Amino acid sequence: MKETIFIGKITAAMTHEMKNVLAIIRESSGLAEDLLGMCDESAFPYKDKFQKIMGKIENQVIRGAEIMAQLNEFSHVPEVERQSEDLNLVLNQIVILSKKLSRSNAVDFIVEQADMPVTSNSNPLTTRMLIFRILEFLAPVIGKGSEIRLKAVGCKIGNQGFSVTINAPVSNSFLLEKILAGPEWDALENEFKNHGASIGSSAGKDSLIVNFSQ
Amino acid sequence: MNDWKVLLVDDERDFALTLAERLGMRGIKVNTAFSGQEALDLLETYQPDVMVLDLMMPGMSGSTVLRKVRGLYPNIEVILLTGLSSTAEGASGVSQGAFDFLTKPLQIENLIEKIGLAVRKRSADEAGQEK
Repeated sequence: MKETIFIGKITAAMTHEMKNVLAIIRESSGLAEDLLGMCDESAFPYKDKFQKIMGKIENQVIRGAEIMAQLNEFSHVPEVERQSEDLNLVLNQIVILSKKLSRSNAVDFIVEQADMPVTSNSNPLTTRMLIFRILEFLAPVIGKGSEIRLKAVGCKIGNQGFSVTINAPVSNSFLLEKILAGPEWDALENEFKNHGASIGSSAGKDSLIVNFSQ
Repeated sequence: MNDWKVLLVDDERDFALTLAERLGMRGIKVNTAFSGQEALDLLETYQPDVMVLDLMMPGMSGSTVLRKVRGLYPNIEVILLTGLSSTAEGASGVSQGAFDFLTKPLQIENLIEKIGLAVRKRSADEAGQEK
């Protein structure tokens, strides 16, 4: 635990530094845009192109700031053993921090916001690890262009979790049947069990349900 | 907007100087300080309407500067800047007397809007004191 707290502390400090880096990039690019705004089109023929470039820089600053914000919050997770938190926000955090995984497998991770907060009291680091684990398990096997949709579900008091629905070119039930029969599924089930959680298919066999013990 | 006087305090020199230049281009008079102590020294001779203050600075922290400014110059409104994603520290600053807070990287339009609101509050407070 000390080791993960240490990694978290370094990460938190560096996300703070990165936010300053992004702030300087935004202000410098903003100043360039301000100056460009004063230029006559005839005096500077590349004005349009430069403005497009500034727009791209701004988009990347927004992207970086969102990642840094989530990474900063994530870096503090190992500091607490138990914490009451909304699974909607946790799912959102992991999806943002898993963008590299989704891009490299050409699949989309989408969080469907539940109508109300779904409060989890599980170990926050384990919760995040298991959410990432299911994404890591499914992303390479569901096929390019597919979607993994996650939704927090309050199953019953003291037993919260989330559902995982896959939108793939082949039918969901066929795909799930194939995944559940695969050789790595048992290992995944055991991994969840070892962390006091469970994973299995829904009653309709069209999605997966993950439950966390409290 | 031309009458607004702002003191921008941030140890990130490139950030402070560039932001100051951009605010200046929009008609706001800006002075900069790169540490808490430098800001307090400057306040002995320069009284801004609003101080824009980074919370996380080496040496004297933004929170300490905020406390001193609230004690010595209660008419100066303080807007805090934080690089932290959590709004907890900014909110804690507001409970200690800051006017408001913004998270870096900030949008200049948001900062100008907050400076304007802070200037208006200062004017209203001063008018109230005169009555």
